[in-house]
This record gives sequence, structure tokens and C-alpha cells, in this order.
Amino acid sequence: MTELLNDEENEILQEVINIGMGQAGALLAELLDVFVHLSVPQVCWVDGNNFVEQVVQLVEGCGDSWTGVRQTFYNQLEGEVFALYGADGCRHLGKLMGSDEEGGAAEEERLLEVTNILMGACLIGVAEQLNREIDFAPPVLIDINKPISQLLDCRDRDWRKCLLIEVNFRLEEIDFSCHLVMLLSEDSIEQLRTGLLQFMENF
Amino acid sequence: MVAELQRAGLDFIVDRVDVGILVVTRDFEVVLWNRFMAAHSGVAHERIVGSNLFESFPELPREWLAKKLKSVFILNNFAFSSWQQRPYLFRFKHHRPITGGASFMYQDCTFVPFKNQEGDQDLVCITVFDVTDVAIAQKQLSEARQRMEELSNQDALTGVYNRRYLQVQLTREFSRVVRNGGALSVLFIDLDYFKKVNDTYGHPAGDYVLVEVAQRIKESVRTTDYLARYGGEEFAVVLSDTGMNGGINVANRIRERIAEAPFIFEGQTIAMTASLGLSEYRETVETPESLLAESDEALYSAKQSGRNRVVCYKAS
Repeated sequence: MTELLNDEENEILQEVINIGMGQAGALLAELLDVFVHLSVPQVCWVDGNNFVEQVVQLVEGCGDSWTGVRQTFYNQLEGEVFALYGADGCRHLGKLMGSDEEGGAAEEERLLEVTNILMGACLIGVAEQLNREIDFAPPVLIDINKPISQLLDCRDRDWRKCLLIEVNFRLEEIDFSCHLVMLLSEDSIEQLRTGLLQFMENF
Repeated sequence: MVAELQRAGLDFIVDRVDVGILVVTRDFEVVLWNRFMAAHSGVAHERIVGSNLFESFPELPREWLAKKLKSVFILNNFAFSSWQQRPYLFRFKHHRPITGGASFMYQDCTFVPFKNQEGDQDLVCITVFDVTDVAIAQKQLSEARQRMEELSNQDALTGVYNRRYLQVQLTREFSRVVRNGGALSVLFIDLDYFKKVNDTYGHPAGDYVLVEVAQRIKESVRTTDYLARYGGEEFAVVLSDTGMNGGINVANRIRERIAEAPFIFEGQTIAMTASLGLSEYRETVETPESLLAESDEALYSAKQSGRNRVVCYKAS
């Protein structure tokens, strides 16, 4: 995972992400009132050609039935987040969100809400440590029960490299799992570097 | 002086921007209520600021809003609500009093947490966007798509399914009985001496008879059956969950319905009969096409043996 950042910068990045995700876990536990297991964040560089394959590998794309939500973040750090829920992963969202409203729209709404919460918890922590500004667009449901490759399908990819951060959430007691795949655009790598250097100086 | 002017300018903009803006405390006390909100709700700024939001709007989803605010404050993050899942937060009239198309204003909302100037109070700014035009356009689009799909399955003259759609459904039903067992039969219906109708009374009369025949057949089958115009004066019906015995009943009913009363077109009386061929699924029938072929063969026998009758396929 070199190329756009040097070894030292990469090391700090991993540290910043670890701290950010730790904070996210604590916040989510407070908000949802359950213990949240977060996997060790995986950080790697992907390019336009292998991005889908790499995500499938990371997620160990078991099964062809995934539900995907996409959300954009922008400002000094910019990119897109994909929340991938396995077939059983989102069945118990109602319990998690303390709502038993039935019907497709209510379930979709919970899915978008959980995505926004997970993503916000993760990225705000990282952005704060790096002292970078970050804003969010509303989450959008991509599709339900489709293979990952189809969910991530995108046209006119005009980027070479971007930074991928993947975390897997699991909850105790409730059968729920979600892979959060965060992709930071090439254009914001300079902002990321500046933030990393500042973080190092203040450390 | 300049600073004062800026402040007044900002207040003016917040008040007059074409977006609903309200600010509430953790306990839903309204702190700010802009003109968009006042104009659409009919609740004046003076009446609501300083009071609880639910006093003026008891119908708001209280529990849902409380959860939204909790997540916004704990994570110190934006939250959203989209018209596609929740058509509106505040039930307002839409902006189309004349052209209509919606019975309320579709809304997208954003929730943004912030602190008051002293930094001792948590507030949330809620913006309400009118997305009625987008919602209507999207609904029209999906209606048009659905309509086009229906049209592509329909026979233009008679309104029953077309041959292509019948084949799709037959293939589906066929796989179902192969997998799960059960009964399935196919009925072919061909009008006798139909060419004479066109030759004697003209094509409009022929078309009229076809439309009426389709209607009579339709009234004789179940909604779970698939009726299609298969060719010129030939109709086919896929009878789901129906074996030979049930099929014969349906076929005879259709034959009688067509023969019992003549068709009247522009004062002319046109008598009509039909020949019918019936086949049923058995394990030895390997493809949907061969089931169709058997039914067609039975129809041929019906024509050969004198018309206006039903013939069932017999495996030789």
C-alpha cells in the first residue's frame, strides 16, 4: 500500500483509521445500545480496473445476494462509501433501530439510516483527527439481492488510484453484519497527506 | 455598521430562501421558523417560536424524530430523510394548485446538529426541500415504463396477450410442472371459414369479430390462464393447473359461446364457429414447443373431422 503515500505516512494513516474506528465503535454502542464488533480496518490502494474484484475479495463475496447503499462525502476529503449488507445482514435492522414498522419503504428507510450512522461514525472520527472538513450527501439505495459486482458497477471511471478502507460490523445478540467500503478519491490525497503531517506534528 | 448589515442580510436570506428551515432544541422547542415553513403550514413564526413543535404539529412522527435527533447529537453528524421512503415530514399542500398530480408536497429533509452562540445548547437545523416535481416526474416515468411493458405483451387489435408473451408464460408454467408436478394444458382455437367474413363483409367486420371473439373467450377462462392471439384468426390459451378433463370443459364452453349467438356488425349478422385442439402435459412431453405442437395437431383433426368441435390430442 505504497505509491501515493510514503511508508511513514501509511503507518500514520493506519493509526488514524484505527483510532477513528475505535471511536466509531464506542459511539455506535452508545447510540444503538448494543456491543458493536468492528473488524481491524483493512486499508489498500485500488485502481479503476481491479476495484470491484478487490472489494469482492475483501468481503469474501459469499453468495450473490447483497443489498447495497451508496453515499457520497465531499469537501476537503471526498469520495464514496458503499455499505454492503449480506442476505441475513439487514433482516434484523428493525430490532436494531427499535422500530417495528413494516413494509418495503420502512425497511429501506432503516437501511439508509443505519448506513448514514455507520458511515458518519467512521469518517467523522478520521476527518477530525486529520483536521479536515467533511460533509455528506444523502444515502441512496443501489439495489437489493444482487451480486456485489453488479452493485458496484460504475460507468466512465476516470480515476487511476483511490484509497480503500474496509470495516466489517457485527453486533452481539442481533444477527446483523455490514461491510463498509470507503473510497477516498485521488483528488483528496493531498489533503489527506497534509492532515497526516499535521497529526504527526501534534502527536 | 457593515457587520450589522451582514447580520440583517443573513437573517433575510434564511427567512426568504425557497427552502423550509427550522431549528429546534433537544426537547423540540422551536428556535427558528422561516417564512417557507410559515407560508406552507399556516403557523406563524410568532406563534410557534418558543413553543414545542408537537403542540402545533401533533401528527408529526414523534418517535422517529426523537431517534433522528439522538443519532444526530451522539454522532455529531448529518441525518437525512428521502421522499422515496418517507414522502413528507410536514404535510403541506403542493405547489400545483391548478395542474395537480400530487395531493401533498413531497419532501427531502436534512438534519444538521450545531451549538448556539454561547456553546451551551445543542440545536438541530432541519431543512425541508420541496421535491414534488421530481417525485411526480419519477412516478410518471415508472408508470410509462410499466405501461410500455404491458403494451409489449399485448395484441394491438384484441387487447389480449400476444404470441411472444404466451410463449414466455408457457415456458414458465412448463418448468413449474416439470419441477413441482401438477397439471397444465394448452388450447388452440381457430375460427372456421374466417376468410369468408373478410371477403364478404370487409376487413372492419373481420376485425370486429376478432375483438368480440377474444372477449367471449376471455369470459370463459380464469384470470390465471393466459389467453393470446396466436396468429390471424387463431387464439391460444395456456390453462394452468388444468388437465385434460378440466380443459375439455373450458374448450366446450368457449366453442358454445362462439357458436351460440351471431356477431352483429353495422346491421349485418355474422354467424361464426370455431375448432379447438387441446393437449395436456405428461412426463413424456419434453418441451413447451412439443406441447404446443400437440395442441396444434389436435386442432388440425378438429378441422378435418368437420369443424365446430373440440378434439383432444391422443398420443399414438
